[in-house]
Amino acid sequence: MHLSDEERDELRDSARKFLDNELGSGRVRSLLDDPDGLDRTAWATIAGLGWAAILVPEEHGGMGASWAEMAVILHEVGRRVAPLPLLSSAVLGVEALVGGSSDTLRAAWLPDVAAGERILTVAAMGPTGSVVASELGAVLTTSGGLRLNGSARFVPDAHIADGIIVAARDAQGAMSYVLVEPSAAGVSVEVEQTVDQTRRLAWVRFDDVAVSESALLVEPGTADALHARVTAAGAVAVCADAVGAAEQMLFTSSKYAVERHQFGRPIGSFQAVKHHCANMLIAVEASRAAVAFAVDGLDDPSIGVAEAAAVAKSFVGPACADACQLAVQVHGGIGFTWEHDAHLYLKRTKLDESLYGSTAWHRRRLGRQILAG
Amino acid sequence: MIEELEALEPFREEVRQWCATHIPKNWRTEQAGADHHQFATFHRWWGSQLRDAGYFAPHWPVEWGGGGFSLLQQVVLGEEFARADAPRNGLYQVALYNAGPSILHAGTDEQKRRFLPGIINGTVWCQGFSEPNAGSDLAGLQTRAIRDGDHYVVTGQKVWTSLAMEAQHCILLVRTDPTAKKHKGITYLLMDMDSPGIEVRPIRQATGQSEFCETFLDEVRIPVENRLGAENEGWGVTQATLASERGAVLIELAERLRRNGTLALAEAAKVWKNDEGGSQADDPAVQEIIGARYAESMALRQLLNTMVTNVIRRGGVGPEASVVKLFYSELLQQVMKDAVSIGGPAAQNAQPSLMSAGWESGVWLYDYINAFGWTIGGGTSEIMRNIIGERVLGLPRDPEPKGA
Repeated sequence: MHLSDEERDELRDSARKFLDNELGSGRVRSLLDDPDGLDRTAWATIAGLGWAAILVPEEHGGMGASWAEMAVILHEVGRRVAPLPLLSSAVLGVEALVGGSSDTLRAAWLPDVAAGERILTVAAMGPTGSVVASELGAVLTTSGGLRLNGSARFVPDAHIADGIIVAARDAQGAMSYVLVEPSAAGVSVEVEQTVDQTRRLAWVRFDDVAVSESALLVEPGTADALHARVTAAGAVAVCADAVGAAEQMLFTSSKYAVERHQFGRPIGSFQAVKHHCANMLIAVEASRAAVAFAVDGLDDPSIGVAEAAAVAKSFVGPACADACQLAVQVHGGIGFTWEHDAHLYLKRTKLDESLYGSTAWHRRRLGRQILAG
Repeated sequence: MIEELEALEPFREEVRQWCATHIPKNWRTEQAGADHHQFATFHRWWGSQLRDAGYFAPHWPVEWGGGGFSLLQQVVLGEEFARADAPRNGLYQVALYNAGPSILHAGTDEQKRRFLPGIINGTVWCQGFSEPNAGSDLAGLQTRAIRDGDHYVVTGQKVWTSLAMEAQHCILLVRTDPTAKKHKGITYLLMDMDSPGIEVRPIRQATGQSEFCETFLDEVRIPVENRLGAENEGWGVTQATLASERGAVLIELAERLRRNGTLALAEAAKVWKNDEGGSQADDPAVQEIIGARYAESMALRQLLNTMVTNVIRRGGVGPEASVVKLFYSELLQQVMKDAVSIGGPAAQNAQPSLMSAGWESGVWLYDYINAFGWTIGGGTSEIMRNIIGERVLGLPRDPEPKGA
């Protein structure tokens, strides 16, 4: 299913309206100190709207829609810095199962994930936050049955997940993807103390966890392409989130620059402030374009998902975080208070910038690819 | 990729074939170091090649000798010309993209009949808008036109009139009502460059080349019938150029920047050595810079795709249109700056080069300097930011300075 431009506009409008009403600033703030960081009532409604089902094939109860639709939702969620398990479950979890080769796992999980009744996540980063295979901390051994040891960090929503898909390497560095349940013996989940409290990431440890053959998403040691796809999806998802957040800060800052007077005139009439706002708009529009390029890459893998994600991550991460930095600057003193939302957006985009590969790594990857071409 | 382009594959193939058989293989080396006369001679020939193929004025309506190409056909043409490294149609830019469209938009039938066929047949036009004291504040221009019967008598000084020494005609902005508010007293005239009283002096630019001129006007008599639009309403005529055409032109420029800038930088980096004797291409810092510029090139391309698809599917442009010129200019400048930096002393050698739009001279340092043509010309980057702030974001205008 592929929506028309008009249908996609309608999806955006309805998502925006829903989030403005149900997950406005007050509600988001009330969830900052909530241990789970999740509004389960809102999540149930969102599941009813089908947001968790966008990338799930129709045969498994999903919408079978494209990344273009997923990106619209992620953008709107970022715009409200909303705490929702979309990156974890609707993006990473679904991408991993759909891209894997286990029909059994798909049939067992996707219908519930699409309906929002169960939550999945993927542990795709090692202890340093790298997604490179050699840097993963989860190790799968195969002698005497499958065993999982080590740890993964920065796993989104692992604390509320019903299933954790783990990117693991073996001693030779070959990659596997396995699904473990948090309740399994030897699995422990500890919520990370991140500065951004609009989302929850977790440190997941594996202490000699027994893994059955049926929990493998692909043949052991053959998950390289799947890992590339899943981490590219994660990278594009956090970029879409960041553009939404930066767009909201652009709106807020421009409005404030008209209302706030100093020296007897609106601060937006001073070029120094006006140009900050213009630079935010440039960052938002160019980032929106870079995400659109990457989304095309995920929908049409002939473009190359790794390149698509690297283009987005190379540009969007710093551009949108810098736009939020400018938002605090334009707001002046009030922007530095807890009371004002600007810090929520700055923290959110700084976290987005750091996940699924650093800006520098993505740029070097692109550069090496061009130099080799 | 714009989906609608798929239907144009046969047209693309046709253009590609034409490029393969018509672009001189050695045009770059032959044109390196050319003065403006040699440049003009070569471009007259190139223009005639384009004319014979029907590619000279692709965006003009067929009834006035244009190609009548759709916006998407223009996109394909630009992409293929960039891919084939065709010479730009540089001599005729003002004629085809400023004078022609303005006459089409605001001209009388008689003016269209008098001027448009000439443009198609190769009349060169220059633009007399800027003045020494009217750059960013263009509407503050002071060149004075006084009505004398059926003529205007014009006295003043214009600057940055590109290729004025080669031009037969000039689109000219003059002040006809010095008492009116500055935007209200301006008139748009079409001036014959052979008129008595015109003196053209080339300006030597920072690169040493002379593409631009200053043009002195001393009681130049211009017939009233050469006025475009009403008296004192010339400012409105200048504002009527179409954003959609700029989109197609910028797609070509952006593709040329990607190829002759970012990708050419990567090729050069393989040859350049670092201080320890290693290849610059092996330096992670260099790889990071090239990756960053490539990502920005792709973002620019997608911005332009968005602009073009908004025109086709929604009949108008969005905020992206206000960003493309600025983003292009600053990316161009940054790529060239990076190349000069990575190239080290090896990128410092002066050598004969092409007249440049900032990516085509073949000499990184000249292209870097020429990039100011984009960050200053056609609205400085600062003015572009004011426009974004005021027209797109709705921020208040700067207060007029006291006494203005």
